Amino acid sequence: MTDRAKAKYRSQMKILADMLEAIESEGGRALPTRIMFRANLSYDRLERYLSDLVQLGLVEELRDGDKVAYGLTGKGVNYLVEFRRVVDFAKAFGIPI
Amino acid sequence: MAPTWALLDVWMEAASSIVGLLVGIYALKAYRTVRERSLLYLNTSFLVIGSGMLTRVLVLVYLVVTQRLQLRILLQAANLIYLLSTLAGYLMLALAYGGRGWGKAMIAAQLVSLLEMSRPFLFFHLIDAFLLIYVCSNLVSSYITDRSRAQLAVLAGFLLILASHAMPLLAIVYPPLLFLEAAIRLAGFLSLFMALATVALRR
Repeated sequence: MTDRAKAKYRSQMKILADMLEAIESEGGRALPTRIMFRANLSYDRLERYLSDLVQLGLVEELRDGDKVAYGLTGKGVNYLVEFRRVVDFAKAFGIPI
Repeated sequence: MAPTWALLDVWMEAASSIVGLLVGIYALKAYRTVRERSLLYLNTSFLVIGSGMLTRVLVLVYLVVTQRLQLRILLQAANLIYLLSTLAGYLMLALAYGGRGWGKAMIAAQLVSLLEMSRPFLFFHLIDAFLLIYVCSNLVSSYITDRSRAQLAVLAGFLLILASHAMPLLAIVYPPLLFLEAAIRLAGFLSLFMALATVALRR
């Protein structure tokens, strides 16, 4: 893999954290399309990762008629806080996440 | 009984080993959160270094408490465990920064150094110092990019640990410098602890 390709690679955990951050930046609940754009994902990957986040209990489905939004759970907020700490720790040791 | 300065040396090494183990444990927690392989190398590195130092401390305390300082073979074995663990730990650190080439080069250098048995411990320190220079060069480049306080503390910590490995080498010229080794290393580990506390206690 070239350096350029390596630099673009995002781990699954980073993608999940990006999605949680996307929901957080929308005020704690967001529509799937907003999450998709903010987390820079294709629709297929969005669906897959959203289902992972729901299964992990990090986000919850919020239905309002036909519309489905996703909201951060308490566990999701805690994970995001921990993720940011870990990123800072890794950065302090010169390891990019 | 061992002289007071020797015991001070032991307690300083005990404190360094505890900080090393704490950093290693936090790195494991970090690895479990983000699954980044470099963090696993960081975790293994600090756990190995911390365990090696703690082993030497426990052996020294045992020898002092039981007044069996004449058991030189046990002391030498503890020293060897310490030197091998620091070497393995720093190799792991080099791997954390992607330095596979460096890692291989240092293993080769170590094998060559084993042939030179007149001052084997000095060779260990020399190779440790080279590995730490590689680690510090990576930390300098990442500090230039981000300039955070935690990064500065980590960089200062590794520079002090590097300086501590230089002491046995400089002691050839000026022997009293050898006594500074543990103190400088402790200062380095405390700097790493400051970085860890800054990050872990952040809300």
